[in-house]
Amino acid sequence: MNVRPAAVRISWLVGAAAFVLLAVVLAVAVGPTSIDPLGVLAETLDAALPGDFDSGLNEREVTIVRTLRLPRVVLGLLVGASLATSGAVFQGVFRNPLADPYLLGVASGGGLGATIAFVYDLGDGKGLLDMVQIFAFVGALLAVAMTWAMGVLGDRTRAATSLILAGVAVASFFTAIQTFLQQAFTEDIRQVYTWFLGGLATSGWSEVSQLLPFSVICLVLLVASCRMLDVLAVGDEEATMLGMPVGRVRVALAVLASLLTAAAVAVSGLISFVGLIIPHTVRLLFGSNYRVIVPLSIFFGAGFLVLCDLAARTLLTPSELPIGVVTAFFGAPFFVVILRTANR
Amino acid sequence: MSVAASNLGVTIKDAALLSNVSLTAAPGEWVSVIGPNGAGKSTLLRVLAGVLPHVGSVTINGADVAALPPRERAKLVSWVPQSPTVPVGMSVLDFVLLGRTPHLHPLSSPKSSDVELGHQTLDMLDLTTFAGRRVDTLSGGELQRVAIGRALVQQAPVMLLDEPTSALDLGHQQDVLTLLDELRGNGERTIISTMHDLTLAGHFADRILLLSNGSVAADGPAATVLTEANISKHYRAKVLIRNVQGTVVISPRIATPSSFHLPAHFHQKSPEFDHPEDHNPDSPTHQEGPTAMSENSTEPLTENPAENKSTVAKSLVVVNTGDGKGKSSAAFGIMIRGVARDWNVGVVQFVKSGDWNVGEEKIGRQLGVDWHNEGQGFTWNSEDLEQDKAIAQQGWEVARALIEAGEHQLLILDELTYLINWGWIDPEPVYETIKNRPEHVSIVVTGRDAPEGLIEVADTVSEVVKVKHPFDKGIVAKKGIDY
Repeated sequence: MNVRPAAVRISWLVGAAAFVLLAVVLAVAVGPTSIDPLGVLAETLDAALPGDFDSGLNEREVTIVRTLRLPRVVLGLLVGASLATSGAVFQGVFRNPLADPYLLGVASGGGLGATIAFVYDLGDGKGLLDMVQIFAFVGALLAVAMTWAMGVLGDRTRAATSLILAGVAVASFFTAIQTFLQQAFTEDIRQVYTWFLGGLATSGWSEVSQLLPFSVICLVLLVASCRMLDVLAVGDEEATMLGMPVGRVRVALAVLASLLTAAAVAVSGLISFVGLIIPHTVRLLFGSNYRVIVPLSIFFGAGFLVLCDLAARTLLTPSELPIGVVTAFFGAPFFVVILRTANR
Repeated sequence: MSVAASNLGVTIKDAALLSNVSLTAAPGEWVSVIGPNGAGKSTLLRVLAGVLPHVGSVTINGADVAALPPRERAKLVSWVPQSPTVPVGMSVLDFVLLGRTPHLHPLSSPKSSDVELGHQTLDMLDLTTFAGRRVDTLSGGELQRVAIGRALVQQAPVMLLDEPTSALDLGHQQDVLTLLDELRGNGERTIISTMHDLTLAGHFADRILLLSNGSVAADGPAATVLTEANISKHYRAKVLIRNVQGTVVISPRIATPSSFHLPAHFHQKSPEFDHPEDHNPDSPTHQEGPTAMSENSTEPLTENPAENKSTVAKSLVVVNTGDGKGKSSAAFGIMIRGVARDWNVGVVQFVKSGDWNVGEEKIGRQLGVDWHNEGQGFTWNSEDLEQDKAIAQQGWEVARALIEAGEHQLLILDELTYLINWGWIDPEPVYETIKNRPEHVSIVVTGRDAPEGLIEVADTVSEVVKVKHPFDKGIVAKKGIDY
């Protein structure tokens, strides 16, 4: 009787939270101006919690922490959590270990949307409800819908393969249009290029406030419904016999995950592989149940992206590396490993 | 709960998988769906579960199954698939608890009462210690029981089981089916299962539905459905049906056991064995060679010293021995004579492979001879003497059973002498069995160095003497001549 159903253990949550906090403090403390980590911790808690207490930092440091580094770090947390969690959910929804927002065409859809907004001067990619972000959002959703429709139309006995192939086809198609626009409007190429590589550079809290509502709502709903992903794991037919309205559940979860991805991509540009690396790492460390994978992916995705951003900011000081380069550097080899084990 | 299905039809890509199938099950009844591969058994279960588009209607207690939301349907019907999908990394307990899905709010987790039910169910299925195991590490039989556990915790009054015991060993088959039988209670659970094992189907089910080509071929109690005629017609199988203590027992009547292969080195390493039989390829002859069998059907050779006049014996024991080639060849000549007289002829080969004896075995089987290769698994390796001995004893048991059964007029026990000479089988019972055989069973024994006891019980004993053997000059066995 001592065997319990799979669930997130308190100790895992504490560990995951500690990892996130460590990443935050490190990322805020390190930079052109080094700041005392303990002061950073105090100042961060001061910013996060109600009430007011003295962190021991001077005014300049407080400004750096509060208006420069903390917004960027918080944005990193949100984007990382969103990408990792939507990756986990896509893997469950499509019963495919290779499902990742990037591979499902979300990224190229978002890229096309953003490019359209740039070249027609609809926005500059900055600020709340900017057209670049809205277009990226719409493009990303459209791409997932197309990939999914094509994947479902394909060979059902090899659904996993046909979905990935559909993602490749959709991504190529969107990229083709995007490249055409980019070449036709070369004056915007630098803007487009920067957006494409992804980045968390911010000027204040506007991106955070744009992403926050989407992230929080979607993440809460996905964590609440992650047991359904475990039911889906036995396949459509058995899940139906177990009383699950498979079609509706799949649409609902895929829409939530797509919203989450699109919201993140719209503010951060394209950051690949987070949705693949994090859920699989969690799976390896803590087990294969989505009741464990989804909640823990939030924490590890958040902390991981903040650390990647720290690397992107500091490796080539004073210039900045696009964060997508850092995640791809870790992600591509990881992808090969997953591919090998998935094809076992 | 009662299940009623009428005029069900399923057509996929112009192929009618089911047509006009009707089925009813009273509350607490167990209906077993049988039929050959591809008859539509699994399709029927899927239709009953409401997950396959179909024409016709399925009702449970009067409610249309197809119209129910999945959740409500799952509270009424549970399903055990033939080969459950295995989610990698999921524990057995978690897998079983998936069965609670229709009883849980979509956003909530199993409660402690659910977990307790899961553990109890695992206990019932002899899976107590498996709770923490990953389902992807289970054996087929374990997985099948776990899937039954998942259906049980679903607590649906109607259970559909698709080949629930196909991967189970005999003990677990009986345990699981008895458990299901008990769980039917007093009309509390209705069971509809497909079954390949017809004896089990007939034993446990109240009614049998025989499907063939997507249609109902028969429906009724086991005794009326499980008939030799039905099984012969729809399964194209020859069976023997007996009634043992109220259970219809179906046993196969296998005409041709499959052949098997000995290692290739058998040829080279065992030249001392008489096979292949040798006739001189330069002088093909219709006569049997050195054994000089003189009996034939018109002039029965029956020298019974007790009588002066020639008489026809009911049967004879012929022993072909000696170090020359031709002992088995002569025996197979007798085999052909037996076949020509419309006898039931059986051959038991003790130290040969099906591979090796293609010639005589092929023609023997074509002629309807009951052919038993009992030499399978001989290793010719002294380390495995115990195994060889066991195989030899098993082979002799087959031969003994055939002799005592009395179903054959002629039995050829090819190379039996080696089993005796090497001490693998106890000689006395062999002589006793041959001596006390049913009076119409003739026996031909071949092999070198026929022991005294065997010669004593034989009527005809011939010795084939080697004058020349091609193997002495390094000439290997010749196909068509030697085998």
